[in-house]
Amino acid sequence: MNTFPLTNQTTQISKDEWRLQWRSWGTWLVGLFLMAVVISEHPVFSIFSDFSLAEAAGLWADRVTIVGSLVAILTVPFALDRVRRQRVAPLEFTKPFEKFAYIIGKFAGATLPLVILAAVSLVIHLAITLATQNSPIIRSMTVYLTQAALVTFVPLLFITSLTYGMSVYIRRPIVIIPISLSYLILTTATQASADARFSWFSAVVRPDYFGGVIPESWMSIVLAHHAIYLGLSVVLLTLAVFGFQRGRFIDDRMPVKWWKQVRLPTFPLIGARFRMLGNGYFVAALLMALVAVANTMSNPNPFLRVEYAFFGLEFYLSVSGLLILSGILARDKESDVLDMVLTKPVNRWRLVAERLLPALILFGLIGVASVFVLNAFYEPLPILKSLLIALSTGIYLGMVGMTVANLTRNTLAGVGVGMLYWFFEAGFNGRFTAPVYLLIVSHQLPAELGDVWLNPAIWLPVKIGSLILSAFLFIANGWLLDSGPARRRTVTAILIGYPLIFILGWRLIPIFMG
Amino acid sequence: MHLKIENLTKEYRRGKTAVEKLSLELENGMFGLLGPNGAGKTTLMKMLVTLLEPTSGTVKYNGFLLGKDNQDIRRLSGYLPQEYGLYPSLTAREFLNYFATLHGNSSKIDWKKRIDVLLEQVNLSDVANQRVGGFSGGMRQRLGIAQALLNDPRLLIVDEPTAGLDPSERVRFRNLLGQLSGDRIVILSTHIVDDISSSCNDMALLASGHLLYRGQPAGFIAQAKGHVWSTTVTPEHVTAIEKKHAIIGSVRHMDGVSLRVLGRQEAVADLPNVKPLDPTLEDAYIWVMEQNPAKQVVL
Repeated sequence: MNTFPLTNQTTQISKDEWRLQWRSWGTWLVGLFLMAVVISEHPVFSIFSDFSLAEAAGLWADRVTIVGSLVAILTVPFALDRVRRQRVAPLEFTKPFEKFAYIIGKFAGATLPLVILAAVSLVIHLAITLATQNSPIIRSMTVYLTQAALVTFVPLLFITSLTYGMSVYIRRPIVIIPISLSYLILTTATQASADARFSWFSAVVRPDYFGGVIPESWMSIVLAHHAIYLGLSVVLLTLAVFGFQRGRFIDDRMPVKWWKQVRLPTFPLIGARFRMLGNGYFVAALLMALVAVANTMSNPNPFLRVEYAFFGLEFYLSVSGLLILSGILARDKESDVLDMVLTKPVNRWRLVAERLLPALILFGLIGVASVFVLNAFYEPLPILKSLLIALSTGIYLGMVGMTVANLTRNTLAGVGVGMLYWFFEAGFNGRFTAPVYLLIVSHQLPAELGDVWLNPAIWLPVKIGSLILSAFLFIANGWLLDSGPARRRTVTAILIGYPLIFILGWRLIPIFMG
Repeated sequence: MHLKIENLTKEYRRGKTAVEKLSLELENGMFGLLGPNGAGKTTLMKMLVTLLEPTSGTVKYNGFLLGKDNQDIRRLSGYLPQEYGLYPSLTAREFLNYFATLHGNSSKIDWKKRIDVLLEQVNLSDVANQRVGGFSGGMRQRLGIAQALLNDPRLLIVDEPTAGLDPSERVRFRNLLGQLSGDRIVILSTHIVDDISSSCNDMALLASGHLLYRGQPAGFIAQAKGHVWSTTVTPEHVTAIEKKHAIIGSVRHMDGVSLRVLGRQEAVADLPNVKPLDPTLEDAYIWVMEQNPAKQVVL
C-alpha cells in the first residue's frame, strides 16, 4: 500500500466529512445551544469574583470539555450513520476506498464541531478576560491554551474516539448517545457526589473539583491519566478501522434480529401500536431509566436519599419520555407511509389517540417500575409525588420533542431539540424559564429570582398547566401533518405562542402571588 | 472484459434461497436481465458488486476472484442500485468529487475533467453547483448514473435505471448505455421490457433464482411465436374469455373490445375472428412465465 495516496485519500475524505458536518443544521443547533450554556457558566458571571487568570482559564477549559464532550456525543455517532440513514451506502460501499483512509478521514471530519467549539471558546474567553480583568491578550491566551491542553484535549479525543468507535459496531446513534451520556454523567456525577477530586474511570479531570486549578502535586497523576486515555483513544480508533465492515451498514447483511422474533399478542389495535414503538428510541429510553435508578442508588449520602431519588426520576426519566414520545407521528413521514395514511378516511383524533395512548402507557410503565424499584431497594418514597415527578416532566418534554418532530417531520430533530432544551434548563437553572422550569425538582432556582419562584405551590400547577398546554398542542399536532395553510398557521401560532406564554408567566405569576 | 459466474448461490437466513446454482458467462456488450419481483435479480447484482457475500459458487472478472480480489473488482465496476440516497447538502459536483475521492488518487483519471464530462453526459451541467436536496427524481437518477460511470467501469451494473425518467430521458439514457457497451459489459436489470428489446443484444430471464432463458432477445420472442392472437368481442363476453384465456391487452371500441390473447392455437379456436399476431418481448415474457408457474414469485 502506497502511503502517499492513502494520506491523500484520508485528507480528502475528512474534507468532505467536514463539509457535511458544516452543512448539517443539527450540528449547528447542538453547538450553538451548548455554547450558550457554557457561556452562562463562565467564571466571571459567577457570584465569586476573586478568580486568578489561571483559575478562570481552568474553569472555562473545564466547561468547554464538558460541553465539547456533549457535542461529540450528539454529533460524532452520526458521521457513519449518515451513510446508512441517507441510503448512500449502496453507492459508497462499491467504491475501492481503503478502510483506514475512510474511517480515519471520517473521524477527522467529524471533529469539526469540536474544533470550532474550541476556537470560539478561546475567542469568547479572551474577550471576557480582556473586558473584565485587564490582562494582556498574549498572556491570557497562553494561560488558557495551557489549561486547555491539560484539561480539554485528551478527554475530548477520548469521548470522540469512544462514540465514533461504537458507531462502527452499533449502527444506531440513538443507542450510542445514551450509553456515552451515561458513561460521562455516571463517571463525573459519581465523583461529585463522592466528593472525589479525581477518578481513573472518568476521562475528564475537572479543575472544578480541585477548586479551579489542578495543583502541581497532582500533575504527574493527571499526566499519567491522560497518557492512558490517549492510548485508549488510539486503541478505540484502531478497533474502529479493523472492525469496520461495509456489510454492517447495508441492511441485507444484518444478522438475525432476535428481538424482531418476539411478537406481542395481536390484540385489535393495541398489539400493533405497541410494536410500532419498539425501536432504537425505546431501547435508549430504557437505558436512561436504568441510569436513573443506577445513579440514584450510587449516591453515598445517607441524608439526601429522597432528594436524590427525586433528582434521578426527574432528570433522567424526562429523557426517556422524550425518546418515547417524540417520533410517534413523525415516524410516518420518515418511513414514507404518511401520504398513504393521510389519504385514508381515518379520523385524525383517533389516529392521534391510537399513537399517544400506547406511548403514554409504555412510558408510564417505565416510570412506575423505576419508582417501585427505588421504593423497594433504596428508600421508602411518597409514591404519588414520586410518580408525578417521574412522569410529568417526561411527558412535557416528550410533547415538546413531538411538536418539533412534527414541525420538521424528523424524529431526530425532535429528540435533538428536546435534549438541547434539557441541557439548557440544566445549565441555566431556570433563569429564563422559571414559570415552566423543566427540572424544578432536580435543580434549585437561583436565589436572585426571589421567593416567588421557589414556592413549590407554584410549580406544581404551572407544570400541570404546561402539561395541559402540551396536550392541546399535541392534539393540534395531528393536524400539523398536513401541509398547507393550516399547517403554516399552527406553526406560526406555536412559534409566537410559546415565547408569549413564557413572557406572560414571568410578568403575571409574581403579581398574582403578591 | 470477461465475466464468468459458476454455480452461484445465495441463501438468506431462515432458508430462503434467492439465487441457486446460477452459471453465466458474459462478454462485452449490453446484457438485459429480466424477471418478476423477488426473482433474485437485485441479489445477483449485489453479489457481483461485492455488496453481498455469496453462500457458494465463484465469480471471476478478467481473472479477479469475487471474495478474494474485492478491491480490484470495485476498481473496475460501477453500480447504480435500484434504491439509494444522495447527500442532500452537497452540490452535484461536490457529490461526484466525494465519490471520486473514494475511488482513490492512485488512478490515472483526471477527476475534474471526468466529472465535467459526466455532468454534461447526464445533462446536469447547468445545475452542477446546486444542492442535491432540491433535485427532482429524474435529476437524482441521472446523478446516480453519473457516479456509477465515474471510474469509466469495465463492468457497469444498473438496476432499474430508467424507473424515474421521463420518456425522452429514458431514450437518452438507453442510448448512452448502448454507446458504453462497446468496450465493456453493461448489465441492465429492468421491469421495463421496452428497455431490453431496444438496447440489449443478449439477455436472460431469471425467476426464483434460476435462469429460465439465456440468449438473444429475438430467440426469446420466438418462443411466443404462434401463441399471440387478436380477437374482437362484445363487452359482455370479456369476463367469460378472461376465465379461460390469458388476456394481455384490451382496447375498447365503439363496436366491441379488441383483445390480445395468449394461448396455443387449439385453445383459442373457440374465439371469434381470431387472428395471429407477431409477439413482442413482453408477450414472450408473459408466455414463458405462464409455462413455468412454479417459478412465479407470489408476493
